Amino acid sequence: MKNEFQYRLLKAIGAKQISAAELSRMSGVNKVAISNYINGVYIPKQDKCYALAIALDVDPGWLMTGDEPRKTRNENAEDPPKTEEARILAKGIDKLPQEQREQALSVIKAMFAKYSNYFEKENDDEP
Amino acid sequence: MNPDFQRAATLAAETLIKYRIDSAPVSPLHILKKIPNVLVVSYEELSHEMGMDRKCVMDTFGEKNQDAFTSINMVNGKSQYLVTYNQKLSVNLAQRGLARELGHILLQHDGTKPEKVRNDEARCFAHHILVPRAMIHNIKATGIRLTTEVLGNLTGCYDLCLTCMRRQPPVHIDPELNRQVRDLFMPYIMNFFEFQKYARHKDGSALADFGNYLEGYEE
Repeated sequence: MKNEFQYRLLKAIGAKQISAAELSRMSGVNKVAISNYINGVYIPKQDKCYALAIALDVDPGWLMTGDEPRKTRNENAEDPPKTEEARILAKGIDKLPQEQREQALSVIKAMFAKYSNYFEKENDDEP
Repeated sequence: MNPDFQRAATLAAETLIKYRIDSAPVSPLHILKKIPNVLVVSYEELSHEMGMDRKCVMDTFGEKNQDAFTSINMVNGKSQYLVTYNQKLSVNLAQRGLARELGHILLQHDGTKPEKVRNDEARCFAHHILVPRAMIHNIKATGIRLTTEVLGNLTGCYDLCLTCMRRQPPVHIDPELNRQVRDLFMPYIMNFFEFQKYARHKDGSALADFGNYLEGYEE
């Protein structure tokens, strides 16, 4: 990881299960800029960071500095029951550093979310 | 826990029959696309969707997964598979990686078995589907020597894949399954060797020897 912000952003994107393009639409932040944040090229300024945090439903302070514990804005809301679990069956994945593993899982979760319609249409005939 | 090679090899034969694969190179991508709860994307598409560099995405999943890897998502008890593969590899390397991932999916690997066990099983499946043993028996029946060149031309699998195949433990596949696979591939084998007779070199070798071919052009 090039910077801690990149890690937090990917973690929040994975938790929200959206793609970079969707985040761009939701936050009003340019897609190229989001791509640069994800790739660790730049760190966003405060206004952009705030917009991203709101769109991702995470605490802006946590996203910006990582100091605050990560929490949803609506603290009273209970987490919905977990009905899905993603795993990567790749070689050596368990031996990767935890941050890298979480980043990989975030990417995968976002992809599953992106294509959820594709799976819903065709989930009758499992192997 | 030991790998179930028997099941992997049997499943490979059953898959060839189920999807009526009757010629080689066997295309695992073609089979993967027919399985409903499987989505296949290239590293290129994955990086595009995530707005990340392709290299950054590939680095994230580790150097051992540069050819292909599979992820599983269990939603309300139902499994969804996402296969990511490297479109920029040579055809035979991509084919080998995808065959292994097809093995993971058909063997219903969900991450509960140890990594080594599921990798061994998936690799066994891959070698049995790409180079069906029943097809090799068909070649033997023609009396033609089983060289790497013959097998490579027939199956699209070369060097690494064939070397690994030889290391696979022997397994017993139901004779009826073997017969069905042999019947499926027989027209393909006969066609292949008829063509080789037609293209026979004057020195009598059944297949073009690339070394000899190059010698003719040496200055």
